[in-house]
Amino acid sequence: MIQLTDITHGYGPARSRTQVLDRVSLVMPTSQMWALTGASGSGKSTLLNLVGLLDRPHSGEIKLAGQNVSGLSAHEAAKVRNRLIGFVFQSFHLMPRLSAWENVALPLVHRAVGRTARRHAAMEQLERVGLDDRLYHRPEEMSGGQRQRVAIARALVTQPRLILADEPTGNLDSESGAMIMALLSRINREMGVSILMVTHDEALARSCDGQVVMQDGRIIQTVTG
Amino acid sequence: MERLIGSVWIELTGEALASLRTQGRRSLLALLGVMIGSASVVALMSFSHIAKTEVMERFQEVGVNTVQIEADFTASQGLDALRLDTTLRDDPQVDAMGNMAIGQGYVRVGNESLSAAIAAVSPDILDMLHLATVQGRNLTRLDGCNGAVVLGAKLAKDARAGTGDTAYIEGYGFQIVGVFPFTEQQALNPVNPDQTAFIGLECSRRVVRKLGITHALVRVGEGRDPSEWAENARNDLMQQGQTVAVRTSKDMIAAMNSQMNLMSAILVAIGSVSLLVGGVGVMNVMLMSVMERRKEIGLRAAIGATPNEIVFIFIVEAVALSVGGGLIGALVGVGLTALGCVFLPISFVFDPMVLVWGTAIAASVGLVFGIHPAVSASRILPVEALRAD
Ligand SMILES: Nc1ncnc2c1ncn2[C@@H]1O[C@H](COP(=O)(O)OP(=O)(O)OP(=O)(O)O)[C@@H](O)[C@H]1O
Ligand SMILES: [Mg+2]
Repeated sequence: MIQLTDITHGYGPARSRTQVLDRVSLVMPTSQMWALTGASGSGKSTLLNLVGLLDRPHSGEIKLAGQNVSGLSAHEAAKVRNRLIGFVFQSFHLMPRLSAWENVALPLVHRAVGRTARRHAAMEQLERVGLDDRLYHRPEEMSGGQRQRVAIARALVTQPRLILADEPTGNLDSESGAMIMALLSRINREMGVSILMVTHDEALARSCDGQVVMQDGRIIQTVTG
Repeated sequence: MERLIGSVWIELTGEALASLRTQGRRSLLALLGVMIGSASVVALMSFSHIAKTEVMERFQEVGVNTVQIEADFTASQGLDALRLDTTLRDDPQVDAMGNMAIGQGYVRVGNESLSAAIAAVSPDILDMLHLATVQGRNLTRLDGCNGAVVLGAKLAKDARAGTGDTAYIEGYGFQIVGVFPFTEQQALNPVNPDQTAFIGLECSRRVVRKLGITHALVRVGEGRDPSEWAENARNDLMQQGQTVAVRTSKDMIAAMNSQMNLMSAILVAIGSVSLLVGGVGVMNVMLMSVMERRKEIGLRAAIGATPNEIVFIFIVEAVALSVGGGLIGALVGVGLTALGCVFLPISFVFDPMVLVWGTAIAASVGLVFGIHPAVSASRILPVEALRAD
């Protein structure tokens, strides 16, 4: 599903650039759930953003589902994101003015899906995450765990092949966190969606199909079950 | 842009309009600037439209095939009535003509003494100018210089005079036989009828004290070219030693039109400046909105909005704001024009095109000033926009 070859990346202007990723290579098979761990500042989010085509690596090659996506224009990258990838963020990133179903349906707006069809698709995904009774609630009217479930439903609504999650339980208490984790692994098992997830939870990481450990911009260990 | 007609754009238009609604007060603020701009452009446009209509009406009254002949006193004495008549009246192209001699003098009725225009006229000219009395009777050919005078409305009012009273004009006694109603300013009429005392042409030598005739009005037959006729008449008179200036309605309309077009161009330019200011207001509001909605932009990008789609959303918002403001402003502008017409001696005419123009101009202002914020929104990197802080 994901194939990275010699990815390097850094921030800031060319001269004073600090190397954040140093020749990172990785192969993650389809339909698996992998964890990305490592100390704070080791480059996990940076790597995830590059895989999600939210940023472009300085060098190296990225292949998603067999397609080379390293040289895509902003326009093409947006199309690939919409077709292939679902995102789950630590801070949810829901639109405060929209109801739960409208938030879930948002990616379909950019796919030219009409409002009625959007609502149907959103309801289906909200049912999957157990929130079919919260269709018209705004984010502020929901708990953190519920918000993250809305975000997961939004990631699923385009029927992606890959879900990228950056510390999806980072803002949640342990009980809601466990629920989100169970939900993600159920989605992985039942729908065959590949999941790459950044986490600080060692036990959780070990329960995944694979674990990548980073340190100072390099992958120091890859464990596959 | 691929598939401009595709329904992505329809869905995105819905999104943009919905987001405007939720922004409420700030949207209104942006609206205000464009509204003021559009109101002033539309008010100015409809004012000049009305003024134009007004002028045309004045000319219509006298007829577009009327020619005014004016004696050139720098070159010669006044015109000789006999010569004028023999040269012009027998011309088969001439439908009607009349002569007048005008001057300035004192008119005294009872204890009131006023300075007024004195017009010694042949009665034909009163016909040509559609001057009919409201009180008493008009001057006729029979009056000659028997001491009959007809007063303009304002003059009669100021002098508190009516039919039957005696008016002393430059010391000579005249009987007031009639009073004209208030009239609009007439094209090609050298005097303002409201402030003029009209007497028979035969009295000109005695009262006006100018030598000869100062003006003649000639109506050329239907289907003739008044300008061409006027030029010929001027040359004929010149050969007889009479220097005259000729004016036709046609030439004056043309001159006035070009003058008024210039005027309205200047007025619209002034209005455009205010529209421009409104446009900058829209740009500011949109730039603020882009900054505040960084997260939304980042999220949309992450879930698959292309840069074009993001540009589109923000441009639709800017244009919708401007069109809303433009339409309201156009209505306000028309209202202001109507109000202005109440206080000015002109009648209000509604031209629906000014609404179309006002709105269209506002829309293009929104488009032009919306481009910069929209493009800057589309250039925001998703990673930057989404960073939790
Ligand atoms: N926009 C940026 N500009 C400059 N430096 C950045 C930027 N984003 C990240 N960095 C730096 O890059 C390095 C890696 O950051 P990254 O966010 O990938 O770490 P992380 O592994 O996700 O850490 P955490 O577990 O705290 O989220 C850090 O040293 C960080 O300071
Ligand atoms: Mg991180």
